[in-house]
Amino acid sequence: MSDIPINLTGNLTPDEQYLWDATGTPSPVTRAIEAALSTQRFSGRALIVRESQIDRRRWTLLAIAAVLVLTGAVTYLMVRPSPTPAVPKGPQATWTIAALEGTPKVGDSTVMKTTPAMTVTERPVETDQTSRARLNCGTATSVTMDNNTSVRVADGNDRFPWISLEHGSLFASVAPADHAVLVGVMGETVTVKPGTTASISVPEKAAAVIGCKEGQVDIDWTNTQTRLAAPASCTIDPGTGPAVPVPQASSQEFRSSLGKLDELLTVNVKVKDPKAQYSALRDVLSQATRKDAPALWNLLPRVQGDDRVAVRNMLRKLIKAPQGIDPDAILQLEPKAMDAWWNAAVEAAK
Amino acid sequence: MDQRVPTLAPPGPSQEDPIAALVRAAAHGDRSAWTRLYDRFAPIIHGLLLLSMRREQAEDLTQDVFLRAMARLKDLRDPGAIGAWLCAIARNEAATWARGKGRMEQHLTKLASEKGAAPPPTPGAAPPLDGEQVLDHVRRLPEAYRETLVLRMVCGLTGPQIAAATGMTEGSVRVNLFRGMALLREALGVERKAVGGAGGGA
Repeated sequence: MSDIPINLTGNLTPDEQYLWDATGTPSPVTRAIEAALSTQRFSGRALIVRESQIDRRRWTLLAIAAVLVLTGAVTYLMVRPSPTPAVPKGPQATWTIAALEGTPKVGDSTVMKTTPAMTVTERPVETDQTSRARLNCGTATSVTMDNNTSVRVADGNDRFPWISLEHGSLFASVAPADHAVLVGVMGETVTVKPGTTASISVPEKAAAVIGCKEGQVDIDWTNTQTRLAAPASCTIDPGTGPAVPVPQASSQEFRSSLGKLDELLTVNVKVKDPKAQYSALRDVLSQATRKDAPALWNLLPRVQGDDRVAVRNMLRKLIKAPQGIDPDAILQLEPKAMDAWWNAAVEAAK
Repeated sequence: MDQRVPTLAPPGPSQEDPIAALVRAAAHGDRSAWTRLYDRFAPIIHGLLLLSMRREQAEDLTQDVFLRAMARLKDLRDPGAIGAWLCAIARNEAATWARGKGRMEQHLTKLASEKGAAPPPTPGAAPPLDGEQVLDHVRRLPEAYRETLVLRMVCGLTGPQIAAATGMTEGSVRVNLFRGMALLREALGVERKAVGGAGGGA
């Protein structure tokens, strides 16, 4: 946590008193922060309500209409190939496609090896068992589509282009510049960071597999961050989200224990079997070495209470704690502390 | 400072709860009661939504939260708890927004702030005065702190009012408020010296 002393008991300073009930005198900094944030206040826009939204007699008709609209929406969601993220404001990404083998398709159009690089819009891009394709976004981002793969380009912006991988496999390569590529996988987001080469596979009826060969990959899943530092791999189950990434250098024993623990962990859900989890976690921690520090970092948001303290303590044993960071801050998953410990874990695992 | 402080304090034992009375009237189709509830709670709901999206989007979604609440008012068992109930709807709406159309933009914003982050400010320098920048720092604080800070610094609620609006204890609000503010100062690069002893008075 912060090294700034916090006065939680006893007499409050005038600044704290102001923070608490607006009766004290704010410090200049508090005043400046409040003035800045006051620009974000609600504008006072009036509530716009149609009569039908008040008149209870019309609820039945509204409900029927809502059911019809919902049915239409659900039907649409079921028949369309995949959800496409909203297009953000700002400079759009421009993707181009080139055939590497065979004849990939962009919508109804066929791309031949002799076809000059063509721009891809929101149409699906597909390869079959005899074709492969390369998608480029500027000079920094390159995505190679393997056989039997379908992706949809969803613009993003020029620094952070976005594609959705429907099924199949791709290899993403991002130059070590100020760029990243965002890949929608099973409804969640995989961020392939600058200077990274990663493979992503989405089989028809199995968990997705992410392999990070160089650099770093982040996966965002219900506010729980998962990070891979190369070389490492991870699976994403559509129901339970990403498993704890396993560093390639980890021992077989550690992998096995981590796999058992992972089966007991479910992101954002109460512990399924506390005793079994306690036992599995102890096995993982007893087998962990410096090479496993990134895996331990990924365990932090997945366990709670004493288990999280145990993981933190093992990290402190294995790696040099980042300077200027309160060791307790990662127990609260404070972003700055988590970043610092992640960097320390990756460095130690090299 | 300009304060727009909604009255949320619970009534005394013999008083009729004016908010509960408004809720009952609204449930019977009294449109003016809805308007008054909206005037009272919209700034708070907007503040909570700000933690997930830009100001303009939060204004739009604030409307949606109230329209959704109108449709589900019969689900509210305790009319006096409408503040906490609306806050819960707002959090759900924000989560839905973040998982849907807002997800991509959220990522882009986050990545942009990661990669294009300004260099750390000079120790002792005045904090940035740009509201969106300060809000962005608030968004990166732990969840409990950022919600409390927004309700205090954006919506202008006092600690006791935050406790009444969210259902948290006053002790929790106090911890979140002071720790959140300390972390925010730290994130903005403001040292205690420059605060004139924040934590040490004005």
